[in-house]
Amino acid sequence: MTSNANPGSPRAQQLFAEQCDAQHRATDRMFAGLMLCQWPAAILLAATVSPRQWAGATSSLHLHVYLAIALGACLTLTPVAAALLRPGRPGTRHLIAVCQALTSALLIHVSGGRIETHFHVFGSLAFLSFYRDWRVLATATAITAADHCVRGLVLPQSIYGVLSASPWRWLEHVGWVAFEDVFLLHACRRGVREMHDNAARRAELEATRAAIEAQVAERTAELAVARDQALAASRAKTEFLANMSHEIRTPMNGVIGMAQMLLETGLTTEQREHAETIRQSGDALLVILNDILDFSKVEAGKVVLEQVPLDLCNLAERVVELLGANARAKGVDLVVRSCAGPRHLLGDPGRIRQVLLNLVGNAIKFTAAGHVFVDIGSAPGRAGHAVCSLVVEDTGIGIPADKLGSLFGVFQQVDASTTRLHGGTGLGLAISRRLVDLMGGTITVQSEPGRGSRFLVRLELPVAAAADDDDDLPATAPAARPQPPAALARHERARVLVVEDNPVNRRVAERMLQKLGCEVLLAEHGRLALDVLAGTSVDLVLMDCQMPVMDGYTATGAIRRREAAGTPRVPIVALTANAMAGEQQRCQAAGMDDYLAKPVRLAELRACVDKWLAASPAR
Amino acid sequence: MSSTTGTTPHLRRPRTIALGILWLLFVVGSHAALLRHGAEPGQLDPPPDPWPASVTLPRAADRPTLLLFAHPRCPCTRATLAELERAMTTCDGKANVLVLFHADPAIGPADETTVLQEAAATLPGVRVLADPFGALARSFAVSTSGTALLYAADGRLLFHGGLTAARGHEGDSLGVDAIVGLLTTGSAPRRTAPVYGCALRAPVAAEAPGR
Repeated sequence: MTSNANPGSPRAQQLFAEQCDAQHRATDRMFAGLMLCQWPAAILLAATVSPRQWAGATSSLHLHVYLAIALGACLTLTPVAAALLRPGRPGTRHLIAVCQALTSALLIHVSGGRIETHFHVFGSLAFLSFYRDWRVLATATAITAADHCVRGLVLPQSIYGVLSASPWRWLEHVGWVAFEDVFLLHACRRGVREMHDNAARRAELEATRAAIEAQVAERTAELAVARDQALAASRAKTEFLANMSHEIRTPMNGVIGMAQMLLETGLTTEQREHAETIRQSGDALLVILNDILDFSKVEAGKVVLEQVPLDLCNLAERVVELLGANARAKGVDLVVRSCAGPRHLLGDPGRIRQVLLNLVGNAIKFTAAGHVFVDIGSAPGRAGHAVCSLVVEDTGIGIPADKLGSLFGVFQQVDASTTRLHGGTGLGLAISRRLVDLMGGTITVQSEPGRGSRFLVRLELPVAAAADDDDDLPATAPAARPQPPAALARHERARVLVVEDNPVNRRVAERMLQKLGCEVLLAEHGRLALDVLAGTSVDLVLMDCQMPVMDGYTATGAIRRREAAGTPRVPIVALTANAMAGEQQRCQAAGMDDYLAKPVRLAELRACVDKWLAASPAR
Repeated sequence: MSSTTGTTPHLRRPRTIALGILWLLFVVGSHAALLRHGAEPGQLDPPPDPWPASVTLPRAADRPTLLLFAHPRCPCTRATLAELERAMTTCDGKANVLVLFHADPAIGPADETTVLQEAAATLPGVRVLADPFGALARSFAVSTSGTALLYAADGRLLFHGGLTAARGHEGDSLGVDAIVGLLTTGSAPRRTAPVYGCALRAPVAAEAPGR
C-alpha cells in the first residue's frame, strides 16, 4: 500500500522527531532494566567460575569477583543513571552502547574466554539496533573492535583461544560483528523509513481531521444561521397566525353574532333562510380557522396536555349529544353502543373530546344512511393504568385500501372530490393523530368501501382514585357544561360592563347580553372602563384584550390593584379574538378569571355569564 | 547573566568532564588489571633432573611419566585440565599421567572430592593421586598449581611448565605443544613454558596468592 502523505511537511517532521524520541527513551529504559540484570549476572558468573584464589590452604576473593562488582557497577550504574536522568539524549545511548560493549568484554573475560559468551556481543548489538540509530551501532562496534585489538595484542589467548594469533585477527572478529551490523543497519533503515511514513500518515490524518473539523464548524455555523432563520420564520408564522386569527375572528364575531341576533327577530321564511346561511357559513369558516390554529399548535409543539380526572363514557355521551342534531338531520343513528371499564381516569378531557368530535363528526359527514356507533372499552394496562379503546364505527362510504396509509397525513382526503362534496380542510385526522401520539396512544382504521369504516383509538391512561360522585368529573371544558335554567332569572338584574373597541362587536355583545336580560354598560377601551368602574358597581366585566389607549391586560391589572385597596372584586372574562396558544394563560396572568374566544356564541356567553354571576359577591 | 545560586552550566561542564575522565580511567584501569592478572604467570622453579630417587612415586619404565600438580580449588587449573585432556587425546597411552592434588585438611575435608578432582578422574589414562601437605610438590620443587613435569622412562626431565597460555583461559599453549611434540615425535622446540595458577603453598614472605 502506498501513501501519498508528504514526509517533508513540518508537522510530519515534528511527529517523526517525537516518535524517535519516544523510541530512544523506551530503549533507554529497556537497557536500564537489562543492565541491572547483567550486573548481578556478571558477579554470579565470576563467583561461580573463579570464586577465590588460593595460596596453599589460604584463600582470598578472586580478582574477577572484585572487578565484576566494581567494574560491573561502573558499567551499569552510570548508563542506568543516564537513562533515568537524561533519557532520549544521544549521549545517553552512546554511553549505553559503550558500557554494553565493555560489559561483553568483562563477561567474556570472567567466563574464561568461553566462545559462548561472545554471543553477548551479538545480542547486545541486536538490542542496540532498537534505537534505530546507526551511530550507536557504530560506537558499540568500535568499542568491540578496540577491545579485540588490545586483547589480541596483549592476551590473545583470552579472546581467540590460540596462542599465536595474527596481529590482524581482531579484524576477522570485527568483520563478523560488521556482518551482523549490515543486517541491523538495514533493519534500522527500514524502521526509520516506517517511522517517517507513520509520521507523514499521521500528519496527513491530522490535517484531514482539522479540515473536517473546520468544515463541520463552518457547517454548524451555517446550520445555526439556518436554524435561527427557521426559528424566526416560525415566530413570524406564529405571529402571522395570531394576527390572522385576531383579524378574522373580529369580523367573524360580528357576522355570526349579528346573524344569531337576526335569527332571534321576526323574519320571513326567506329572510330566515338567508340569515341561517350566513350563520352556517360563519360556523364553517370558524371550523376551518380552528383546525388551522390547532394544527399550527400541534406542529409547533405548543400543546400542553392536562392530567385531570375524566370519565370517558360521560365524555362520549356529551359528544354524541352535541353532534346528535347533525346526525338526526341526515337520518343517521348516532349512539354510544357500549361503555365499559373504569370511570375514573386521568387525562386531558378537552383533547380526547376533540379527537372524538373529529372522528364522530367525520363519521356523520361520510354516512348517508345507517348508523354511527361509539364504543368505549378498557383493558388492564401497566400498574395503575388502563388501556382504553375508543371506537367510532359507521356505515358510510368507506375508504379505499390504497388511501388508508395516507389518511392521517396533513391535508389528506380520500380524493379532491371529497372536499368539494363534504367540505373540510383535511386537517382533522392529522390533528387527531398527532394529539393521540402526544398522549402516547395509537389511532388505526379499518374500512371497506361502500360498507363503512371503523376508527380505533387506544390510550393508556392512569386510573384515578375513585370519587364519591361521578358528576364531579369533568367530561368537557367547564364552559360547555349545560346551564341550569334557574340561572336565567339572575341575568335580569345583572349589570355587565362590555369593554370592546370594535363597534360591531360591542353592539353584538350588548345585544346578546340584553337578550340574556342583563343591564349593559359599554366602554371603548381600558381607560374608559376604569372610569366607569370608578363610579359604578358592576357584576361582570367582559374585557377585550387588544384595544387602543389601554388594552385589556393593563386595564385588568389596574382594576385588580384598585381592588387590593378595598374595592369589591369583580369577575373579569377575557373576550378576545386571539385564539392562539398561550393567550388563555396570558389572560389569567393579567388577573382575568375566564376566557371566551371570538366569535362568541349566545350559548357560550350565557353559560359564562351564569357561572360568574352565580359566584359574584356583588349579587 | 549567570545565576548566583545552584550550579551553573559553565561550572557543571568541567566537573562532568572530570568525572568522565575518572570514569574512563577506572574502566580502562580495571580492564588493564584483568588483562595483567590473566597474563601474569605463577612461580616456576627448576625441578630435579633426573627423577629424584627419594621419591616413592611410581615411574613407568616403558614410557614417559607426566606429573601434573594441582590445587584442588584453583579456578585456573580447570583450563589446565581441559588442555591436559586435549593433549591426552592426541597422545593416548604414550605417557603415564599422574595428577597430584595438593591435600590439606585446611583446604577441605579429606573425603571431599572437588570439581577439579572429579574432572581429572574422568580423563582417560589419567591417575589421580593425593599429595598430602604438598610433600611431593616440594620434592619436585613445584609451587604453582597447573605445573606439569614430563620425565622420560629413564628418569630424565623432558619438560616443565604450564599447559595454558593465560590464567584460566583454554586454548593453544606452548606447554601442550611441547608435551605433544615430545610424546609423539620425541622432540619439541622448547622444554619449558610459563605456568598460570594458584600457589600451592602460602607465601613465605611477600609472595602474593596466585604467584
